[in-house]
Amino acid sequence: MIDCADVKEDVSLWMDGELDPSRAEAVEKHLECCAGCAAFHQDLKSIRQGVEGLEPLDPPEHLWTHLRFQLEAEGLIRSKPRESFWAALLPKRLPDLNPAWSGAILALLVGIGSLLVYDSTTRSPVVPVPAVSTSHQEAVLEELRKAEANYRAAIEALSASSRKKLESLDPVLAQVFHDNLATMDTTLNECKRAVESSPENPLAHRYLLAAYQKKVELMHTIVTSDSLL
Amino acid sequence: MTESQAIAGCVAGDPRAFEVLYNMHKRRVYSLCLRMVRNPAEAEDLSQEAFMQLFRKIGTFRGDSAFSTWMHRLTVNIILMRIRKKGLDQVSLDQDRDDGQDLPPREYGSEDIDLLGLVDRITLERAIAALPKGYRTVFVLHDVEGYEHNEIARIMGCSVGNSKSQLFKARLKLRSILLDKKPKSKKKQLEASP
Repeated sequence: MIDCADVKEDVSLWMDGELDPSRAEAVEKHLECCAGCAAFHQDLKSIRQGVEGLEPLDPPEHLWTHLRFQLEAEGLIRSKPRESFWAALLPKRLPDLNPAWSGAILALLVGIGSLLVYDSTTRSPVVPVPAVSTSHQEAVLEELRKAEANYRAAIEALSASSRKKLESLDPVLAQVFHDNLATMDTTLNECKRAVESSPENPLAHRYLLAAYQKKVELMHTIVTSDSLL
Repeated sequence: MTESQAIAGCVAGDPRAFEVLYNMHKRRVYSLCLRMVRNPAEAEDLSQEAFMQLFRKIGTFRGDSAFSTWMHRLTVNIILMRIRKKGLDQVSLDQDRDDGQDLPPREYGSEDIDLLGLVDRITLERAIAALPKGYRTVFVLHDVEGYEHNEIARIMGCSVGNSKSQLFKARLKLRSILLDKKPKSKKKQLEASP
């Protein structure tokens, strides 16, 4: 006589083809005469069928955008190597020249080179122009501050209703949302620190705005979570 | 662009190749992350980390196994490292949790209530998400992702027997969660039936 307590684990193993033939046979016989274990077996079958029907889930659209920024930041994405100015001027394939022509061209190049050297030594030094002017940078930061203010206003507008909503949700689901919000706040703070430490870095600006956007999206999802249930 | 062309393109730094490869595998990587850690923001973060690792190491891919297998293993390792680092409510696979805290009450000898095939996708996703982490890891790897027990044992650093035992407990717990989620009237009706 087989004990039902022992049979249940065997049923699970039997379904995976992990039982030796003699035990498998004993399980099969037991299932024929025990309604409880047969129901248990049916449940595991239902779960297995459900699992087989699970679809892969789509990641959010912005995941690729973030990934692309990081790939660029780490230099893994390389745009086509740009031809140097001089390489672009030179013909791709040099024509066959006789020695007299070659000598003449060489003399000409030496002459041009000497003139350039003379010119550069007699001219006053050139002051390098910064790549991005300070006023432009300030304007960009001002725009960033405005965008941040808009996002903060949106978060403020959503916070009361999302808090209320969270209280009414299933505790497990509410906990998932709480965890997400906490992760997003951490990300948001890291992005803010990145902007503070390098305000001229456009990548830091993009990450910060993306972090705000994600938080607003999540809060909106919480508020409209009825449509998910 | 085929997968092998995309891999070669990534090694050369071609931006289009990265996007092609990402689109080929994004759903599988994200689903695995989400089912293992439950938290969408963290799953997103892990997916990004997995893809970045993949793209950093893509030059070392020799084609000894399928690319998807290589990528999958890499993703699993990243997830497990994160879980270990965070040390949240993970159940150690080397400790048998027979204390009954996480397991449904033993109902051996009593009449079982069957689910009557009423396991829809959303309910099942939620029930998997509600599993304790240790059980969820083994369940997702074995029943969802199709890993063998010997592979799980190697990845998790436990014995094959332990992996089998954890899977059984995970299935028991999942069944219990699903039964709890059944509409009360249906449950009562089932309980009343002989």
